[in-house]
Amino acid sequence: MACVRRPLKHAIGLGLLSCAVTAYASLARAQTCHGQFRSNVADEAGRATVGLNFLSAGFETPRFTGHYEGLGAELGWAQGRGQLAATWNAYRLSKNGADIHGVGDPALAARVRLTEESAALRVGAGLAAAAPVGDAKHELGMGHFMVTPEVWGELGSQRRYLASSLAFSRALGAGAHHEHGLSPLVAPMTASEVTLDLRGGLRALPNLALEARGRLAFPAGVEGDARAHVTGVVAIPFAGGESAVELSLPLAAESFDWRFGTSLRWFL
Amino acid sequence: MASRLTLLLLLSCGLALGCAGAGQNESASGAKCGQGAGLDYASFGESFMRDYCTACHSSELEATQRSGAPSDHDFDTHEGILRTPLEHLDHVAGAGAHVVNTTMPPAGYPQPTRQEREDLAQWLACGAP
Repeated sequence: MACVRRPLKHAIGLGLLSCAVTAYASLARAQTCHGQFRSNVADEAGRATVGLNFLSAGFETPRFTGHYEGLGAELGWAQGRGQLAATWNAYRLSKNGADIHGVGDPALAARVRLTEESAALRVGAGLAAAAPVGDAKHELGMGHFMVTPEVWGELGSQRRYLASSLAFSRALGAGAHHEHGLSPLVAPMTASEVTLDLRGGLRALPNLALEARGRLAFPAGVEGDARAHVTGVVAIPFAGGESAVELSLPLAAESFDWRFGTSLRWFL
Repeated sequence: MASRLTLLLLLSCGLALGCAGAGQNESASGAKCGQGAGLDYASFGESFMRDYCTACHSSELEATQRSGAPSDHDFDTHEGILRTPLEHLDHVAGAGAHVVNTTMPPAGYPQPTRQEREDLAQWLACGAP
């Protein structure tokens, strides 16, 4: 019986914590509602994770030139066929000589695996949502809710895998005012967007994992430019956790010139 | 499991909905063009922009000198003003029968008088001739 109750306690605890994280920010409103899960095979079932991440990016758009730095917390939980992840970042955004500080939009994502874990091809569905907490006027947040249902699939094992997801992001309550243009932080930039993610990874050494990602996003039913970028990730597992660094470079129409991230994640 | 995940998601989103911040308080001032007949760039617009706007909104400034002003909002020439949606200028700095908008200039910079904001809104309502 205790074995049955424990996951439920974890779920309630994580849910309350996510709610608290989301509720705490009444001052400010960010960025993307999608992509909270690194890799399904990397997340071991039955574990909660807590992580810290830092990111930095440079940008030059028709309206603004500058850079931003972000520091964020992430919570993750995996049990059986389900996964939950919550992320929330605070930013220093420097654009055209002005420094803006504040939190972004917190995001919560859930995934369910529809096939057996042992299947050669594992597929599933998910739903992510971001809440308008970040200051939209200063482009720290979207200024509206964003929901992103997705389907995903993956092949392989922790040693070697290929994964892909297809997602549809939709702004809620933004009307015609959603178009963010090339906003340094906020993505998607249109009211409706379809996103295709591809990623492949391998464990090159016992304590070294590599991952390559690509993202293609294009407006759905609204005007706008398709955008694309690639990301390289180096992850180093350690006892009880994992550290990672990543570098993203734009291929088309992205608002950043480069984006660097590093993270630490512990298994609880 | 799926029902628990769904419940947690709904709980979090519901809470976030209740705590989301208020929207911006910028709107049309309500100024009409007839009230501002006679104002033009030479008699009003140029000096208003020079006194209150071009410290940041000038094509002569480098990006890092603009104190956050967007690179496509330059008001040091008549053409630059006309490239900007006039309604936007009214919404951030104009005054009229409906509201006095004071988003711009930001705090810490010289502020126009109420009369100057009303003149700005009327000039903009006429198309900023």
